[in-house]
Amino acid sequence: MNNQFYMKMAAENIRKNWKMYLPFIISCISTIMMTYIIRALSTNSGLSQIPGGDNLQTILFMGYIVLMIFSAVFLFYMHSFLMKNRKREFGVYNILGMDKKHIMKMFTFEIFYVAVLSMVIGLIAGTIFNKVCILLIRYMMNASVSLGFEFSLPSVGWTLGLFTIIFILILLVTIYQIRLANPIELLKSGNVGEKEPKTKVFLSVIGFALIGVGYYLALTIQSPIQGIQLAFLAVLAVMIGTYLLFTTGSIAILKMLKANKNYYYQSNHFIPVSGMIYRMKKNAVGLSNITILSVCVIVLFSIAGSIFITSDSTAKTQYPGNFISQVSLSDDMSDTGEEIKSEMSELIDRTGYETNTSVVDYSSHAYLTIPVFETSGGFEVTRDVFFIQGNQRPSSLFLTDQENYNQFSGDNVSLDENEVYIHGVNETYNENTLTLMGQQFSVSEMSDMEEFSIGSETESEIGDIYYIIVPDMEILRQLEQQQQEILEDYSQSTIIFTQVDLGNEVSAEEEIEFGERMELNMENAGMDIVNIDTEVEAVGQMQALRSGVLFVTLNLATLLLLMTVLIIYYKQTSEAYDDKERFSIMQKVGLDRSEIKKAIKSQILIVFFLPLIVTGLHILAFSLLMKKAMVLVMLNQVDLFPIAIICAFLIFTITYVVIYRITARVYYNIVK
Amino acid sequence: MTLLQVQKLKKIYTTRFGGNKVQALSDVSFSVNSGDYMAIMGESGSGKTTLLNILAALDKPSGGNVLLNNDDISQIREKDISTFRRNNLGFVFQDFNLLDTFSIQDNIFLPLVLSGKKHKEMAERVVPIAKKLNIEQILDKFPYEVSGGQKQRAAVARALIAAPELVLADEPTGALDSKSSKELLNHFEEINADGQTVLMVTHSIEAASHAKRVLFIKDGKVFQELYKARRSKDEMFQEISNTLAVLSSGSDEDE
Repeated sequence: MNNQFYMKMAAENIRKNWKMYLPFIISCISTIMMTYIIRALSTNSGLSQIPGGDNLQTILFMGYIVLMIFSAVFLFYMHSFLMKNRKREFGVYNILGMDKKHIMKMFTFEIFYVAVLSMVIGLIAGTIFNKVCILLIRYMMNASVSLGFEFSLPSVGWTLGLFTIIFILILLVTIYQIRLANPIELLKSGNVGEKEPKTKVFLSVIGFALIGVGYYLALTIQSPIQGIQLAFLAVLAVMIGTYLLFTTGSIAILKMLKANKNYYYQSNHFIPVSGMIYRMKKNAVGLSNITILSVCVIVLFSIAGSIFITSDSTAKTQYPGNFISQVSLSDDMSDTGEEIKSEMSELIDRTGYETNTSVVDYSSHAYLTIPVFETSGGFEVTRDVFFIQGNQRPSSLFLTDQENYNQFSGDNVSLDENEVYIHGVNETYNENTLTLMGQQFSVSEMSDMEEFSIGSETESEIGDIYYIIVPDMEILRQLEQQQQEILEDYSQSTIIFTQVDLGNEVSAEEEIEFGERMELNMENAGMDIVNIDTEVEAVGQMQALRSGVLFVTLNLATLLLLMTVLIIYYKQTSEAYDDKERFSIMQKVGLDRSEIKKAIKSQILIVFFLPLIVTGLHILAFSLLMKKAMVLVMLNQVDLFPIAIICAFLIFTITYVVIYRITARVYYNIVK
Repeated sequence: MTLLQVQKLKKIYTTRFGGNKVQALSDVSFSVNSGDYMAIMGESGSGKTTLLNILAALDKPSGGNVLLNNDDISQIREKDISTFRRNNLGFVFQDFNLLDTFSIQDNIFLPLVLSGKKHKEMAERVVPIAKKLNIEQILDKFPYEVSGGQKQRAAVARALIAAPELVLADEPTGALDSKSSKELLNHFEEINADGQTVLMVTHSIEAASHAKRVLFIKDGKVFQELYKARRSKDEMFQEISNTLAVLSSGSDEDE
């Protein structure tokens, strides 16, 4: 037998098993396409020139690595489904006199065909969609539209290399499996009768308990960013709980239904219930896989959706000026920061002159940030704030003195010696006194206080925030010293915050140039710089973060959705082949066609909508936690997040129903 | 009383593109009385299976009529056919056709469940039948846990539970060893003795020699018919062998 024979045979096999092969080929094409796009985007030279573009590309590259691992796992999983249905065929070939060596040769050609086909189509589609993505990113990042054809040869090379390795691995694993099996096993695999599973009350209870714990954690964790370990634990508990509940709980429920004789012995319950009990063990894992994948898809889509609906203005509103800097005061306690302030104003004028940039306005003021726990009648400063447990809620204090505040706000606040004004962003402070590190102040709430720090919007979602005005700089520095003694190397210094407004005509490039020159000048002046930023860069970075996260999540979500769809498809078709015989027997015994249709419908309905319902519950339980985490990306527009979740869930449900209709038809056609 | 009348039954299969026509049944007429036990014999390709499929309303004849209690089977509407089959016919197949997903008892219940009977009634009906067929002990087991003979007896119980007019058996001993075969044939005889009409298609002379009548089919026609009457089983066995010998020699001189 020559090679040509095997080539023909392989092609014929793919054609013959098209129904089974098509989903696998689709998964190959889409993974190839997506890895190519992400890889090409992460190295696109045009994108790196947009402000924030390099950040975006870093995120994309990380996404690329995730995608690589994911693609490999996904394709292996898909192929194992395919092989399960084909082992019998290989067994027949073996018995008909084909050597295992011959089968392997034939199979090698099959994989080769699939690889070539999916690589060619995947790369063509990838090149087209790559261009679409570039345009979309440029649009999102407000960069000019670039025309022309973009083709990344190194990315093609990398993608081809990666998938060649994956295909070779699939081939080797399959060959290994074929080598190990004897023909009788190959023939029989697929119709080994499953024993009726036993009810496991204990495990069902544990499953319930785990989901309960997961839900409880998800609903009570205050800050998913600080309590990340706990959040992770919650996710893990719910995942394991889902598996347990599906595998044991579903059997318990079905057995209960079966035990109810008047329910069970009805024609539209009899067939589906028995059928489901019979293969529940296998089914349950599939169902929990579908559930967990569905949850992932909805989470990813809602993240993508919320980024999409968050307007760009958030980054701008968060930004007080075109340029900001934060400089630490010296350790000398008598330093009130006036020296730095005047030095800053000098530097700003000089830099404006040097870079030929018009400076419209600038201001400087001092403030101090202390992380604390709220106690009754005051705040506690402790290192524990940095080793926080998930359900503890830290607060942040922003302190300034009345002179700085009056300067900054233009108000005329006048405090008594031991008096402070407080303004709670999240909640008002209702006590009459305030104790902080042993010092006691009489306190008044000042609701119209202007907020004198940046970034507080993000933090107010993580913990409570209080703005406090103390009488003079001496007290402020005293507090600074005290907290330094407690917090040691975690402590912060009093900061001179400076913001500069540049003229409207100043371009983005000029703004960045001003910022860089400013930094240089401040360094030369020997200042202790904490942070320097320009609005253009900050907004660019924010946008880069957003579009990066958006692209990676969209890609992963699409891939996971595809995986969900394909798992359902494979599950339904392989079950349909199992059920074909059963239904033909029932037809002979006197089962109507319309009754078969009804039985199939109710069976598929349960199998389909059970995961959807559980998915909905999971999403509901975790939405609060996700909302808290989304503050990072959505900032003050985080209230839009529920809308994103609802949209994602609706879109997913529609997709799901469509899949249901298609697979139900495929199932019926096979069984018929 | 005549239960089943088969009149000038014809069946012609046409290949998909209408080129070749195969005549499976050319002219078959016979009648079965209530309480009969009839075996139909013939070589492979003689039209036995086609005949059985038409009697079971799984296939439609090209000509002729099948009357069950004077109702024409081929006139039954498509949507009523399953109900008809359930209420009037019981089936026993060569390969048992029990469902793996059901216990033996649930397999037996299947026709009743499909007719929408109450569980209480099912439970009552199964007791005497299971006792008669000696499968009381295995009712809670699953098909993959019991022997072939037990499976076939369960299948017989399933065929009987709806108290059908006619039990159709297609090579019921085909997949059984000789001991199980003998047991099953004895059961058939007992069932028949209780008044159940049985029509069995078989290759086995042993199986046919249990029947009261044997109908021989060749090339789609009734070739000959034997009545057991007062003959012993061994005599009947001999008689059937002789007829088969004539049948396969291809000569028509006996007619």
